[in-house]
Amino acid sequence: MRGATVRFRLAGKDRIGVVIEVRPDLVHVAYGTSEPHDDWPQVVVHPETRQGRALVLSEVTYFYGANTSWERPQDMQFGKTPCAKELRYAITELVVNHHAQSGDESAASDEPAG
Amino acid sequence: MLHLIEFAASRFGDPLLHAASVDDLDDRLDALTDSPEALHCTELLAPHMPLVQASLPMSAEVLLAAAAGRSPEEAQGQVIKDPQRILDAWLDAQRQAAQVMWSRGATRVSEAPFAGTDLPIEIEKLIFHGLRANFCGLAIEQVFSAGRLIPVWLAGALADRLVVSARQHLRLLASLPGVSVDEAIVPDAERLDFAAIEARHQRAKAASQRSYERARARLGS
Repeated sequence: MRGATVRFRLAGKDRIGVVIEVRPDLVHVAYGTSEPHDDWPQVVVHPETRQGRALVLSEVTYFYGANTSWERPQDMQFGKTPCAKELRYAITELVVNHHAQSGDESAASDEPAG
Repeated sequence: MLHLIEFAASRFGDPLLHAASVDDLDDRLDALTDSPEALHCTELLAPHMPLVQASLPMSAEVLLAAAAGRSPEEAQGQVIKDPQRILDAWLDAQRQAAQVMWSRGATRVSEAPFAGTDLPIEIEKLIFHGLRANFCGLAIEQVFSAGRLIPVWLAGALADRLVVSARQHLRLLASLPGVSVDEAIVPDAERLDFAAIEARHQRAKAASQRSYERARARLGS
């Protein structure tokens, strides 16, 4: 399941994401946003690329280290195509670096940025 | 052993030669690096890596000829710089790593360093590149051993991925104790600080665990 592409609702918004970690009951998802924050470490995915097609993107999408959420698998819609490996590694590195630098208080705060 | 190499080239290299596009090739390579059968075969071949590599016709001439006929669009922005030096260094570093690994008494890849499942993401990524480079090498082997004709774009794409991934994997190999790689090929700044990576990995895991527990409480799992 790691590397699966998913769609789910978070804070009233439809989100597109990639599963980066799997636990018995929940999965950790890094989700994208259309809001650019130029000064934040980011991974940008364009809809016309292989990665964008796998995620079925309709617009340029930005992934940030803080934008992750734990979700129940049954609350998500799984995509047909897995995330490209290189993209999954890039997004996971963003998240890991964010968690490692931010520590407990702000890491994975469940507050979506954008 | 040569039969196993031929089998691997046919079983795992040949499907890559049926890719319909660059994206399709990348999808096939991603799938191969997740295939238990392919990984098991890689495990069987690992102790015999020098023999495997001696059988792979990875000359710079072949690679450059493959890459030379492509249009800029087909090249997809990847630039091959000094491919022969990179490949020679990669093959040599693998030979050194295999010697270090097997001289320590390990008999299976699963007993080797980094063979566990809880890997820092930086390490996991570089191991992926090692696998991808090897599968590209098996596809090139299949082109030559089976006398296959392939489109120029595919030859170029395989050559690109072989060299780009070998270069990435070489960063990992060059960082291993007992493996010597020319600093002109992998500068010190690109080598891995395993202690720092492990410390960062543990901090991230701890933060992830805490956020997981908060989420469980929130969701009532």
